[in-house]
Amino acid sequence: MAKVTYRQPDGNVHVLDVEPGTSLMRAAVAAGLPGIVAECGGQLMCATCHVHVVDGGEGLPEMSDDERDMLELAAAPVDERSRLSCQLVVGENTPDVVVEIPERQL
Amino acid sequence: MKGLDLLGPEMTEQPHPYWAQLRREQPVCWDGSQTAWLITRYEDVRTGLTEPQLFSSNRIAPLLEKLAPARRAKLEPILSIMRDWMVVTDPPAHTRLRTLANAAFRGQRIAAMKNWIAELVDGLLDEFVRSGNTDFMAGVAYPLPATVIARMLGAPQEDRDRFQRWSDELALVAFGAGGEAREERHERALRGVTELQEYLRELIATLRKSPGDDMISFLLGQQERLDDDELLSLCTLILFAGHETTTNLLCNSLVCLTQHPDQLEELRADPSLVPNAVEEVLRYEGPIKILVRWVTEDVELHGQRIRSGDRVYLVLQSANRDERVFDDPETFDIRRPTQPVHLGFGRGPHTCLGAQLARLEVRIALPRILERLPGLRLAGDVTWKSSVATRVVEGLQVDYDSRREPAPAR
Repeated sequence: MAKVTYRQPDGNVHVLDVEPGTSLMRAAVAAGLPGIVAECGGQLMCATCHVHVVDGGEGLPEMSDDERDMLELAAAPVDERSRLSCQLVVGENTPDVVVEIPERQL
Repeated sequence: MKGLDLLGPEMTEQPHPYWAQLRREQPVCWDGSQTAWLITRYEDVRTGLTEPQLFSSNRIAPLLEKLAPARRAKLEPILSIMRDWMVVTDPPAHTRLRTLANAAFRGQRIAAMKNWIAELVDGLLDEFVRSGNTDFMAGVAYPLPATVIARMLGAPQEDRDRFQRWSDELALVAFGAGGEAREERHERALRGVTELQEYLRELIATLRKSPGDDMISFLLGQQERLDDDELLSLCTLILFAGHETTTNLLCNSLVCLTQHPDQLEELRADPSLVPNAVEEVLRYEGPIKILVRWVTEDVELHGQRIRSGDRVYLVLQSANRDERVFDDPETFDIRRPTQPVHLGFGRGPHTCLGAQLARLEVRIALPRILERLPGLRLAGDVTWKSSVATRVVEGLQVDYDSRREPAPAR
């Protein structure tokens, strides 16, 4: 179980306990958090679950070439902290993670 | 309350008052003439889209089984071709096909196609202006997506007019045409799809001999997992889905904007609003009206008992104007925030494969259209087609200020 902090662009903060095997996208959608659209439902086809990982990124899966390609379609500026949260599956030993949700997903 | 015929003139010209009434009074409503439940609220439609185990997409095989023998003999040829499309399958069959299609699609690196699409749009607009053509649908909205998908599939671009015609005929069944085309729609669709498949069979054979960097060559490279029939079926679907709906999105964008000329001018002045405007068109007048699902077990929703095996229509056109989700939903507003996101591309496992491609094409095309066609306006009234599943115009005659004329004094 990892503690994941989602920071909204308006300053609101949500903290979720995410089970191993669950992605940060899936956890956010299940909890009804705003800001993570996930139009394609985690198929790595839409880039609408973009987040910036500000802490704890070392405990998350490495970026695949497919994820890198899809990030090019993200609506908000992409930087070295950018990830698609559908790919950020929590593991048994994932430390606490902090992500920022960008202003735009489309 | 009085039910309305979804294919009748009222629901074709102005469907929104009826949807608003259903959302308010009967969010789950049986439509006897369609033999389907109409599901009209955003949350319920989203549930229907994201819970495939309860709301099945496997709708053609069960339909064929239910038909009386005479009708079945008539419909089977066309429906059996569509039966294996991934849009009408459930996991795990769907997952297998969709995973391959996703990979082939991603392999096209659409983000890298921006410049090429921009050049394509400019070329079409040059020709449109030069020829004096006023039919925007035929001159621009059709050839743009058809050319893009042809290139992605590895088909010669000059063939686009041919598969455009086949695709039009296939749409009669796939989207449930009304009007004069309804009676003979199955025969016409079969003719179209047969020719399209013949064409694709040859294209696949050519690409098998000399592969390129297109989607078909990619899928051929994975062939231990996709047999010839499956590949043909998938390519037919992608070619069909790849341009019909984008054409309609482009046309509907122009309809919305020309009917709100102040916003059209705002967009012309500030192209940074384009992505917002495209999402607003998808919400306000998206090309897909209804997605169909079959319910797999008895379920109670808003006091109605839906039985296992019943058909439901998930009415995107209504969900996207649900006042529970969108402020002032009947107002077209290109400055509307893009979240919550409309359901125009669906949601969940069957979400439109080409959603980001469609967005890219329209986002690139719109500002160029407005720039190249100053004073853009409709020439005549908009006529919507009678259709169960799509929101489509009959044609789109436009007018604009010719550049050859001197600019009018202000």
